[in-house]
Amino acid sequence: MPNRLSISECIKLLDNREIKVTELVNAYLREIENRDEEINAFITVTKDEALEKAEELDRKGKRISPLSGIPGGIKDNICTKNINTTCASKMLKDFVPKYSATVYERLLDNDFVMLGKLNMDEFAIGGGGEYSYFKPVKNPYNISHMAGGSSSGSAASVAAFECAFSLGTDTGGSILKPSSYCGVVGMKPTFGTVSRYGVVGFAPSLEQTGPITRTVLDNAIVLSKIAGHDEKDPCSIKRDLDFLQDIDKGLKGLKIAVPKELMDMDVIQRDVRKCYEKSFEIFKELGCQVDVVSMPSLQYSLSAYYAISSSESASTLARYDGIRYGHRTKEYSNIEELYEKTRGEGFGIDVKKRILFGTFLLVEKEKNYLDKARKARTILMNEYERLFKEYSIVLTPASPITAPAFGEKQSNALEKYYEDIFTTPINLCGIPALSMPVCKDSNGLPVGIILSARHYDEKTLYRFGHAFEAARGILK
Amino acid sequence: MINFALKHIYDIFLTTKVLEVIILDITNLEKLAKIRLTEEERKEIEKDLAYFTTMLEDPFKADTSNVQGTTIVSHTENVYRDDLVEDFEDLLFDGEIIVPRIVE
Repeated sequence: MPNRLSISECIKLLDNREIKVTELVNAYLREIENRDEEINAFITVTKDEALEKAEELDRKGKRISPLSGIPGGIKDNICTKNINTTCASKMLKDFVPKYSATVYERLLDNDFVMLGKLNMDEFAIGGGGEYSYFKPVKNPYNISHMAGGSSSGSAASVAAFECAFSLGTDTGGSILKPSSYCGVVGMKPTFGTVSRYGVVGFAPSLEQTGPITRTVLDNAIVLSKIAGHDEKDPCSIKRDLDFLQDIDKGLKGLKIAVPKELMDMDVIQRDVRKCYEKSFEIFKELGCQVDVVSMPSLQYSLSAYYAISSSESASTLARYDGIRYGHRTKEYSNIEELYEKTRGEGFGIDVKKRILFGTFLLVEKEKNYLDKARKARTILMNEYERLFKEYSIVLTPASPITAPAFGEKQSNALEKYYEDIFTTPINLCGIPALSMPVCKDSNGLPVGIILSARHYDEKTLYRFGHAFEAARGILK
Repeated sequence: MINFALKHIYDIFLTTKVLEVIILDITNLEKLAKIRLTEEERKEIEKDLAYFTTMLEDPFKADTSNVQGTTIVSHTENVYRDDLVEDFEDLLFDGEIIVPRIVE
């Protein structure tokens, strides 16, 4: 079954003409047909376009890039010209962009085969994958459990062998957490590494686009093809980055920091803690030094993240007013009522919560929470910077828990947000991070870890990840 | 579900003035954000916002004197592009563009 192969294995077969692109694409389309009715990873499947492209590539014969003929899926908040881009929202359910995001164009330039648009939490707000207007995304390891979010379809499709790779976006853990819940490899690159032009965001100071794959090497291959300066994105960085150059160098003598404050937290499930500690042993066997270090500023990260992201979302999502595009309410008597009813009908409950919270923060002047959150962000960044002078990576669990079951009751709204405690510092600081599986919990659900590194040091993360994966094996 | 040892902190916060402010302001926030909520949504959001606000005090524990806030972590460079003029022939009337009416 060619759809079970890694990208690097497919590259060899395609290069040696031992497999046709159409065979590969058909294998993935069959898997989507057989399985996606229960997983719900896709919002739109572009079957005809995929087969047409595959036939064209087979006719052409020449492969112009490692990604030539490799089938992938795109999160549905990334604009794809003439293909629905819904952000999993009623607000944009019929929206067809007139242009494509740079990141999608880069994949097209590399002759990848587009399989379709992937389900997500509405407007990338949410952490479980259950807040899609269309249908909740289910975990391929156990469909009564969530896939994680917001890039839920991106992670679930790769785990279910419905895509060789996918693109997700990450604002506060939206690539890292679903990758962990679904047992796949997800990269949140350094802020500015991948162009965000044409990506529908909600918190512009935090967001990045990144790849999700089944192996670390595959991840580095995809990132190599989508990264790079884009003059259309004001935050795009001008740097030559080679993500593969150190991947086989081994880890002897490298130092890993483990934050004491996170180790002490009793919110971490027992199985997650066990797998996390198992990862220390694997890294030590690979020649690393693992030190427990204090990072006191981590305690501010969750609140700083929610203050900043909510405020930005209140501003960014103000554009959805029913005037230029998207949903518009049917009955209204004046312009104010048009706005209010359109937004009331078009947005889901989690998006409304975030906008209202952000609105409160933007108008609140007495305590100036937002200003305080931005200062806490600076303190956190300084702390990471100090740490990275001595350590190559910081190692944490990906989430305090494994994928929760649908309908599992939380005693209050904050419990859900505490799942993001390990991911939010990464976005606040704009540093790169790699999420990868370690083992499974007693219910057979994947447990993941996050490796984070200094700005622009994705190559070190791939080096650690590749060595770890070789020692532990790929999660099955 | 997660066993939060910190749960008692929420209960302390629930008695603070911050919560009262949010409960009193929810209708005003709807107006400011231009979102009309149903009664059911209003109740749920009111309750959740109260929990959210309990988190906001955390950064106040930090010493932020002489610390400058971070709004973005990388450099930014303004992007200027030429306007893209689409086909508007059918909107031309007597040499002027007639903009379609949005709100009747």
